Amino acid sequence: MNSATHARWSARVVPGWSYAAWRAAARTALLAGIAPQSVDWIERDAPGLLDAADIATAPQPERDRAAPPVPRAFIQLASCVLCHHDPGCAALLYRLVWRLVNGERALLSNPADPDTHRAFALAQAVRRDAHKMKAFVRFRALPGESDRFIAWFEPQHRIVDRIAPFFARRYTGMRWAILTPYRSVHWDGVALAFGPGALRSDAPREDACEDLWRTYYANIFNPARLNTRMMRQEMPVKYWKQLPEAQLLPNLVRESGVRVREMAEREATAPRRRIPGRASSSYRPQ
Amino acid sequence: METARKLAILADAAKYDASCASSGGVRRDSSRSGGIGSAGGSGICHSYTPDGRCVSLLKILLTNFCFYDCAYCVNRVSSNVPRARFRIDEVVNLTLDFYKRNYIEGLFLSSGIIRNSDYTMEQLVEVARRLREDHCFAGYIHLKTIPEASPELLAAAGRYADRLSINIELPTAAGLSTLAPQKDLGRIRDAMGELRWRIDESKQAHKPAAITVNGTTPRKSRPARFAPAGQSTQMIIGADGASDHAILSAADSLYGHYRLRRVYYSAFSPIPDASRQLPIKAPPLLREHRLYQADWLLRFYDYGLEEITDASGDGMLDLDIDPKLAWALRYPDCFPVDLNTAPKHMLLRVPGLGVRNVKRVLMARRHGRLRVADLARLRAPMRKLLPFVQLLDHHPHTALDDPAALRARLAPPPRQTVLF
Repeated sequence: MNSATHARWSARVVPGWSYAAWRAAARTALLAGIAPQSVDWIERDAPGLLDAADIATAPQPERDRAAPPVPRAFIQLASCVLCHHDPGCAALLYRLVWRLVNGERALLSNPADPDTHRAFALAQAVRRDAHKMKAFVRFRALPGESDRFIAWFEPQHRIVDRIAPFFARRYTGMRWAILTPYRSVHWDGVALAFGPGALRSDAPREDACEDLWRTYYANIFNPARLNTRMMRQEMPVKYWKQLPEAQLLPNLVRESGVRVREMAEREATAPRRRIPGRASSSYRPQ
Repeated sequence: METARKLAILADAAKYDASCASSGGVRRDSSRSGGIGSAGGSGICHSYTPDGRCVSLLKILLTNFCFYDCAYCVNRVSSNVPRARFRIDEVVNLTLDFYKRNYIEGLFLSSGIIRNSDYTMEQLVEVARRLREDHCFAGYIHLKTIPEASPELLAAAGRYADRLSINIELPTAAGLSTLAPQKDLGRIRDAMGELRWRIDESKQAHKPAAITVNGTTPRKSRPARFAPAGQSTQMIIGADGASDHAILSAADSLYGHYRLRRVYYSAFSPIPDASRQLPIKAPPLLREHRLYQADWLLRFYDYGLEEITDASGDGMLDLDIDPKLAWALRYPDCFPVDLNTAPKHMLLRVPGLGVRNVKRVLMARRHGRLRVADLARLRAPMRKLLPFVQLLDHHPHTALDDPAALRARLAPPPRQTVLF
């Protein structure tokens, strides 16, 4: 008898963003032939009183049977989707893999299918957050130490493990840490080490370079092209508190009208300087 | 002068250059060198200024002293803006300090011309050399190239930089001679040709070698990649009287002759201490936007130049609607396009359907006939799209009979920003 017909099962994925953890549970469930609607996906570590029977105890009909192969594209999609904080990710992925191995091999190439579409949308949100993390992490130097940096960042999704290797390849020659509310990662120049979440106060409060950075930011802005809608779209307000330059925004926006008007109202002035050896030699570089 | 003051002046002097891309080129990182920096793949925008522009690179001039007198330029010799000059090590340290804090993808260094072209170019190259050789910097470097500089200096620039650019600034020789009398279109084109030749040659040398009969690849020492992210240029829009047709045909010819990766269009913008020759007005931002859309149609949608603008009229793009919609309304007989059967090149002509959604439509229709609901899920702009397409449960019927009415329905009320 197919075990899927008589019970509910619970599958534990810890940590929730781990593809390896999800795959282990999904493989057990697939081999036992348990249909998607019979599995509760749980991220908690400790078992709850009302949990259904652990999927590991499900009868495995053929002991030596290998798990059916899944397309490489699914593995990539799944490891991305699991980083999403949506609690339904694990179940959605199991439904997809169930359909993939039960005759719908081309499922992932149909963007109009609701499950595929949902998974693509979740993956897209994770990729976007990952991209923003690469962009908006701001390291601060540890005072008195050379080339040691700490950043505080609040990602929307659980992407620290996914993005840390990028920072290791980019900042190989520094020692750095990125602290987030749910997880932290440290690089000592050789290896990445992951740890628990942290507090904003665990990172330095400022960095001497930030004034220079704000100077640059204020001066590269062209007030005659003010377009705050575009800016908000690309740099959503939720990230602003992590960006040292964002505190300048209200002033830059407010003053831009005046600055443009002043440029327009100014009469063209007669040139004061001359190039040496050209029209006259009165000009001296300072 | 302290660094912060110089930074303020020399960033301000650089902001009228539209380019800030850090994409393209070869993938590389620091995992082997133990230095810092990585590049390649898609660029990263580390911030956005309130003008909606991306901040990807530290974009500065080495100096804004310049002996050229280009009327549109904030740094022309006859302008009374404050002047400054960075020392080479100041630029190197700023780049490294910003990069290590993850503010930037790298450096975009340009300069006013001081003493002579070779001297100026030497300084730019030296900044890039120190970053690469003394500091193992693997981030992105874009160097502005001075057309009159010697070939040896161009060669050195390409060894250290990911991208090189020479700004053509104005689309016609007449415009250039009026507004930028010291610039020489012939020299600019020669230098672009020289860069193209070096980029092509280096790309050829880096192609994977053919496998020989016994299965081994012959070992050859390879020269360093020359400007792997190619070359780009910029044209200023609205400073001279050039039409959109003149601008786009200049761009088309630049893409064709010099294989430019990008032509940037930069709406002529009010500058402090403007020249009497070019009185201040609001930058034509909407025109700039339409030119970028037209540029995309040329490069990724297989449109011919004459299909987008023609020289017979005033040669200007329609500001109220995008150039793709404008084409569709001129040729209503080509529509509706049946999304379930039409070939790819026709899908690409459907207003509101971008390259990515065309790909999705092609994938999805292998699984079944598409309906309106399937299309809506792709987040395509339905209002714009539906009059031009046919689906299993949709036909626009008479919508295309009256293109003028359709245009009125789809065109948003004109909203060119008024500055003053």
